[in-house]
Amino acid sequence: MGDGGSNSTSLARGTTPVNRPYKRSELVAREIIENLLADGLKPGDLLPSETQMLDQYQVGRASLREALRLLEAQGLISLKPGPGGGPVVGDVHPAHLGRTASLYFRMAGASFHELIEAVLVLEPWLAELAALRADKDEARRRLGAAMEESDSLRGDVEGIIRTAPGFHRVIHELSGNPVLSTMTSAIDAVFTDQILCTLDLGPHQGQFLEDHHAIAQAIIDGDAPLARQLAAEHTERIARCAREQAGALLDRRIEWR
Amino acid sequence: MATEKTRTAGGKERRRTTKTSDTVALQIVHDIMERGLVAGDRLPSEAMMLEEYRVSRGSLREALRLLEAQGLISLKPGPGGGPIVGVAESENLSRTSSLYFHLGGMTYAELFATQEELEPILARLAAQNPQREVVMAPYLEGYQIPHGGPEYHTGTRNFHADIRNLANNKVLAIYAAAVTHLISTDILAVMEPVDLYGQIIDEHGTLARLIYEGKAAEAEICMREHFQSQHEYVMSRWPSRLAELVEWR
Repeated sequence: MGDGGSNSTSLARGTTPVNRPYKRSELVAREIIENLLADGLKPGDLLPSETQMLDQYQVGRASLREALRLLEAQGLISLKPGPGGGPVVGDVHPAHLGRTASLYFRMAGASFHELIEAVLVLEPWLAELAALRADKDEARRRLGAAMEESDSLRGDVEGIIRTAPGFHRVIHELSGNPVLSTMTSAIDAVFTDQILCTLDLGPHQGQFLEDHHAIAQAIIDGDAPLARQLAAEHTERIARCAREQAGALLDRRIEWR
Repeated sequence: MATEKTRTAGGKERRRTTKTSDTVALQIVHDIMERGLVAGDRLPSEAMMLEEYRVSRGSLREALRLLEAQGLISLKPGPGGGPIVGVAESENLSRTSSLYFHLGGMTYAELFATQEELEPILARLAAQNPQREVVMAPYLEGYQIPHGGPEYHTGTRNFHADIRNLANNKVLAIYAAAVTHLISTDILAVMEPVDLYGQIIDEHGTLARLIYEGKAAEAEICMREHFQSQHEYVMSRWPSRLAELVEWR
């Protein structure tokens, strides 16, 4: 468990904090999101132009730009440069939440050991929930598609790393709890970005793919205890790989990047 | 550092191009940690930071505002003011997370389900910490707080914070605290279910005892039931709330 983190910053004790009041730019950011939802805009859609928004929200240019920047920093919009450019709706990808969360992990001084432990706790449990709750047909279809993608990349180690989070994300989503699923995928993204990418997984990819197949099958069969066990073994294998290859790194604090 | 071009989780053009203000914000957080600054400490003045980071005033201010929006620093106005170190409060993460939950179409019922899953795990981990007796001792039999009012809220909040800290995993703790905070502010603070408070305090005593004695599996179950009974209470009195989208606040 952890690395004796109890001596570093403790979290959130003391009087109940009052939420900080909003800045003008945050209020504008909120309105932009509400309008985007009300208008049914999708990722990739263009938002109104800056001039239109200035008119619509009746704020100064500086506040509007700050609002857009706040949303951009969270990956919820992107700013397309050049003529015909402007603010574009981004996607609610867990990796964005992971990026923001890692800033908190960084400030709280959480170590990579704690990150790995979180993955070890969460993955098996979401696999179990997926086996317990997922609609069989949906599980077969979505896991099948994810497996097909990674099978087609057999031999391409980079390809495997690129597609593995997608496979796990399907499992998270099949757990039937989108909040938990988003959080877990976000933690996974931090883990993949900051640890997995630095490892040499070449010798293990065959094993990892086999693991994925077995976990997928257990979920499709609705065998919750087996799904849990296989996911635990799989995650433990990855954690061992990280400990062997990146031992010293794991004592360090999670980065924000 | 911020220009790294590595594979990213799930691949495909997800990493935004890094802006100067992002890089500076990253550097500021890095320096806060390096220098061991804690909440309330003063950061260098704007003039000093401009010198140090060699960026334009516009980029520096944008970086400070990005950190401020996350509650990780605050900007004290006026003479003698300036940037101050904030805290990695899960409350601030809860604000950011709620934006994702809102956009992702998630409901309070799903927030409840998450609380029922995450907090019990932390109770289990807490019961395995050698420090458990010291931390849980004050909450054993005889622990009394008023059934309502600020003392109640601070007391119950500290109890759960102590368990999360005992669990010794800040990654899980930050998330659990963010979810619990959202439920507290958006539901419990609105309902103020005072008739439930006596039961909650009793259950805290039971939980404290199980964790104190290192009964990990029982602590996990007890924590789950603790939240389930609160959720049933809310469901029976405010059912419409559960289907509502998590508000972004």
